[in-house]
This record gives sequence, structure tokens and C-alpha cells, in this order.
Amino acid sequence: MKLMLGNEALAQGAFEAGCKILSAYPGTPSTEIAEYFSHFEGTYSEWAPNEKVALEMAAGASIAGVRSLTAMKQVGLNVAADPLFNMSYVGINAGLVIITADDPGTHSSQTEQDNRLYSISSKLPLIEPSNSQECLDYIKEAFVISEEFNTPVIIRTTTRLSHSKSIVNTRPKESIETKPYIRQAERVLSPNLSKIKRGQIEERLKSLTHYSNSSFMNVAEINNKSIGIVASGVSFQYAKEIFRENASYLKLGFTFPFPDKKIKDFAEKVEKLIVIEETEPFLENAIKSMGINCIGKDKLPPYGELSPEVIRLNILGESIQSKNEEKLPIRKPTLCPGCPHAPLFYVTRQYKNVISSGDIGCYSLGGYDPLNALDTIICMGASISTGTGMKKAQMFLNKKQNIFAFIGDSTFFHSGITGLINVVYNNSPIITFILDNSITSMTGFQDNPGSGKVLMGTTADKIHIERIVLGCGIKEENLYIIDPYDLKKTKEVIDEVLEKNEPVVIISRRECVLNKKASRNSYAFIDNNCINCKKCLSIGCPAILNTNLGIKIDSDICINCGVCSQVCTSNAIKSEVLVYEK
Amino acid sequence: MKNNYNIIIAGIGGQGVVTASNILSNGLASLGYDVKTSETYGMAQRGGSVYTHLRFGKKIWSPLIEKGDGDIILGFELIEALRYKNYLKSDGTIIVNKHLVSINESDSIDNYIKMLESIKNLKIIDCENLYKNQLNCRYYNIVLLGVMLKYLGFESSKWEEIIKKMSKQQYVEKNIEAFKLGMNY
Repeated sequence: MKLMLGNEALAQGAFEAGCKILSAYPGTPSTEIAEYFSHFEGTYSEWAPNEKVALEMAAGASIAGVRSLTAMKQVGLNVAADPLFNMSYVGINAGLVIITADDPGTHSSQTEQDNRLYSISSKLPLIEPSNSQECLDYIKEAFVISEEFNTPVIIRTTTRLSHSKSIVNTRPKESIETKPYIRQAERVLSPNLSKIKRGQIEERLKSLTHYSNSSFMNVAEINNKSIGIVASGVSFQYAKEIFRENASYLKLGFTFPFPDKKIKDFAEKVEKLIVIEETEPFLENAIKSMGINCIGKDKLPPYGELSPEVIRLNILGESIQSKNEEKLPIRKPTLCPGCPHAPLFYVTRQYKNVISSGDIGCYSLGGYDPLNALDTIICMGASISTGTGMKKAQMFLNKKQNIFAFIGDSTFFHSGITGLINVVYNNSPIITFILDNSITSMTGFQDNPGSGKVLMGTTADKIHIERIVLGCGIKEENLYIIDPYDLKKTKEVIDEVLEKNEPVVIISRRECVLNKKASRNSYAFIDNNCINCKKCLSIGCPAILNTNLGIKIDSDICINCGVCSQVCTSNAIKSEVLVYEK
Repeated sequence: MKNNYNIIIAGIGGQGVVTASNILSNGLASLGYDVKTSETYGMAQRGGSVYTHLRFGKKIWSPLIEKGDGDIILGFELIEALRYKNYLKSDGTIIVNKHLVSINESDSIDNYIKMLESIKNLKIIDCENLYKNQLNCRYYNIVLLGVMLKYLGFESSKWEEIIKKMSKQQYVEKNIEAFKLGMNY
């Protein structure tokens, strides 16, 4: 018996089911699944460069005969959508499970996206656990379903499942034989074959519907019949908390294909049907299309995260809240003290007539207060390719702008390389900054192809970004490597490249300060020379504080990177050596 | 002890919110309670708000505490403790370290203490003044944990065992010392 995160339980269940291979890309709230799974003996796990590669890797392993798993956040499935849809046609050999960890309420995502909708168009079965025990039990069943029906299986979680802990009873690892590999002509997709496969997929859906209607994951509980609640995922737990015995429940765990018979039976037994789910009316629409009336997003909010109080307020019209929300300042996410991204943006945002195309990672924070150094953040890898579009548009515009693109090392490996190829191949002379801190930091310091280590802990040959850049066709004299802590040199390089009309790449290279294991031996402080010009505050360093006693540096967290002392206009910032490490 | 308890642990990344909730949740599970927690990750390193919803009792359904259903806010910093004030029952309790990490220039401890005045059951523990000669500030989370466990009526010896089991070797001694200080507050 153990208290486990939903993510840990998924990894544990996969292991117990004899899954031996995992390929994934970090993404909150899915990241821990791979991290936990990588500790199991007799398994193999890896960080892939992106989610498409991860799903394809897992698919290949499954076809070769070994149960395999991939996990990603909701937008990751967008990247992996091509193999997702096509694997539905190809079929599997050993079980293949795909976990999508959605993020209702966008705790750590740029968008809110209900990935259950993928199952409808990809024709793949869908499972929604509602607590950690179900994460463990349902993923084991997922592998069985995958093999019985010759289909990849999608498991969908949400943040309050991935990152909530509840009690789990683990079981011993099953001894599952790997599957023999036998070549099958129908794994070679072609237009003619697919006409036949399309029909087989419809048959498969029929069989899966039959399974859905009798699955142990779909359970009716009849209590008070005046209200019948249909719920899936963690929403079920919220509903149970509020309604207790005052409602009947149809708890759905296997939600696509829809258990139409079970839904119909349940609807006939209760007076009023209420559907509680996050975030799209996925179940609600299916129920309504069966001709069954129900309450759903007409009462509950159509977007955002559900919670007990939201359900109570919108369904029952009640609130047990006795105190009002206090109006308090928000602690905005900031770059860390000494982060190498801050000085780079401090310099680049000083340039006029520039459109700065940003990307996703810690450096996204350069786009917010106080640095405000970006014009766009769209999706992984978009910085460079969007930049080429912005550049070509200048041809048709009167007021010309320069284009800067900013991308991190991990993001570059993920999906920036093809953008850089477009820069050279289609000649868009933008200035691309690759922010290389040699780690995938925002998601929790995962290794990547440039970091020199793999998920399972062994060393790996580093893939050198500069060689890729040259390989994409950037001229050697247009490839620069700078230390972002050196503000003067950074500005010199940018001034120089703005004179060129050719594609340029500037690699801004310095290790992430949090990832460095070196202990601090000094910090900076502000002396009497300070004239309160507040220039140092505009770096956005959380160690520099604007107090009512003037500007102070928090010596507990300052790492003495030296950036603020370069920015200071009155030579007021000096450094102090630490006598002892606090 | 009543059926269910709902506790919000709140602080800033680095203050040991996750550590405290790990010790508390695992300890409660080992004592036979049903336990569920909801945690935040990711804002921890970057000096952001960190909170855990922790629920324990006979049978827990929702991993989230409903607004207005909170029994205790265990706060390691004043602004963060206040942020969840609207989760408290009308007779709920706040146990908080008298520590402010300001956000705005105008922030002052007195302002925030004033906002706590309406709380019926309030314990403000000035860890810095009371314990700075004995304990590094990184152990204040365990002191507050001790204060809360005493308040809930738990037995000291059981929890000393739990803390010993759950602490890394190099922190066991200091954690026990911090816990005892909290229990004896």
C-alpha cells in the first residue's frame, strides 16, 4: 500500500503489465510518468527529441513485439498526431498505450485542449481513470484491450489526477511473454489497403462498443433516483464528494467508443441526467445524439477547470464559502537569479524596429514583465519558422522591421531545425538566437540530445548545436557563440549582424544556474553610489528588490553573476565573498 | 477527531511545502487514514506560490478541498497563507509563520497581520525570533508541522517515528529537533 501520484501509479501499472519500453518528451503534467518508469529494472526508457518521435518509437517497439508506452502533455499529442492517426490503421503487435496528460485551467500550458476529442477522429479507444488506483488498474487493462482488439489505446488524465496522490495497492509484476514478430503486409499502408482497413476499423469500433457496454470500468451506482450523474475522470470524485448518496451515478472509465447501452439503461432509471466532465461536452454530445436529454455545459462553465465549489454553485445554486477572496498581489513567475536568459533579453529588447518571435521554455518568461522582450509565443519550435514568415512579409510592407527569433536548446532539437532549414533554403535572413543552457529546464531539468546524458542516467555523446546549424547551411562566418553574461560583447555581435543581410545564428550559451551543482562563494550588494535610477530592476532578477529603504540585493539568493553591475549607471554594485555557505 | 480533515499547506517554492506534505500525507496513511493530496509543481524553483491540498479521514473522494470547507491553513509565509483564506470554514484555523516575502514595494508585515485578524482560531509563530539561534530557516516547515499536529491532538512519539523514517539521513536529527520545538510551542 502506498500513497502515489497518478503519474507514479501509471508507471507502476505499466510495469506490472509487462510493459518494457517507454519513449516520451517532458511536458507538465506528464513528465513524472517517464521519470518513475525509468527506475524499473528490466525496462528501457528514453527522452525522445519530440513527441512524434516518441510515439513512433513506442509504435516500432510494439510492432517488433514488446509492450510499449508513450506519455505527453496535451499539446504533445498535436505533435504526435500523425503517427497517432496512422497507427490506428497499421494496428499493433504487442500492446501500445498512449497517455495524454491534459491541463484544464491551463496551470502550465498555453492552451486548454480536451484531447478526448482525438479518440473520435482517430478511432482509438479511450480510458479515463479517476484516481491513482484506477491509473494503475486501468493501464494494465489498456494493454490487454490493445492486444485483444489490435489497436493503440489512449489514456487521458488531467492535472488533478497526474499530480494528486491517493492510496494504491500495487500487485506483483505479471510475467508477460513478448510477441513473436511476423511480417504482415497490412502494416505497409497504401491508399488501396486503407479502403479495406477503413471498414475493419468500423468493425473494430463495433466490437469495442460491445466491450465498453460491459467493461468493469463503466459502473452504475443507483441511490437517489431524482438525479443521475454521468461523470468521468476526476470530475467523478468531485461529484461524489458533493452529492454523496443524494444522487445516482454512472461512472465512466472507458469512454470511447461510448457505452451507449449502459448510458441508455442508466438514463431510464433516473429522473434527471447531469453530465459532469472536463472540459468539452464530449460525453454530453454523445448522450444528446442518442436522443437522451441531459444537463451539462448549459449549466456548468464551458471552459476552465472544474472543482467542488464550481459544481455546487452551478448545479445546486449553493456555496459554502464563508469568506471572500482576499485581494492579494500575485507572485509572478520569474527567471531565476543569475539566469543567462535575462541579460540576453535585456540587450535585445533595446533594439528598435524589431519583431521578436519567441518560443516555449524558461525563456518564455522573457516575454512577460518586466523584460517584455517578445512579440509572439505560439507553440514549440514556432519561433524560427514564424520568423521566416514575418521576414518575407517585410517585402510587401512600407515600414521595415528586423526579425529576431529566440529558441532554447531542447526546443531547437524538438522542432526548430526544420525552421532553420527554411531560413536558409528559402532565404529568410533573420537573426536566430539559440539559448543553450544545456538542459530542458522548465519541466524540471530533463536531459536532451545536447546535455550529454540520457533518461536512464548513462552518458551520451552530445549532439552539437553548432554542427546542426552549419549542416542547415548557415555560413560559418554567420554563426556566433556568445556568453550572455557579457552584455557589451552581446551588443557588439548584434550590431555587427544587423549590418548583414544574410541568415545569422547566435548561440547564447551558458549553463542553467539551478542545474549547476557548484556552491555559491559570493554575492553582490548595492553601495552608497546608488542614485536610484532603477535600471537594475528592469533585468527582472528576483534577487534585486525595490524596498522602501531603496534598492537592495537579497544576498540569500544572489549568485553574483555580475549582470546587474554591468547595467548599473553609477558603479554602485560590488561583490562580497562569502565567508561561509549559508 | 471528526470524520474528515481538510488542510491547505501554503508557502513559497523552497520553503519545504512539498516536503511537509509528503511527511504529513505518508504519516497519516501509515496511521490508517484514507488520504488524498493535490500538489503544485513547477513554480517551486522560481520563487512562486506553492500549495498542497491535503485531505484525510475515513473515506476521501475529491482530491481538491472545496472553498469554504478548509479546516486548517498551514502557512510558511504570510501572503501565501492569506491567499487561501477563502477556503476556510467560518471557524477554521490558520497556523502561520510570521514571515513575509514581499511582492510590492508597499508590502509590510503589519498590513498582512491585520488581514488575519478576522480569523477566529489563529496561531502566528515568529520562527525567526524564536528559533534563529537553534535552527536554520529551512527547518521552520517542520516546526509548523509540529505545531499543527499537536493542535490536532496527535501523539508525539508516533510522529517522531514517522519523521525519522521519512527524512534523509543528513536531516533526521534537525527534523526531530524542529518537530519537538513545534510540539512544545
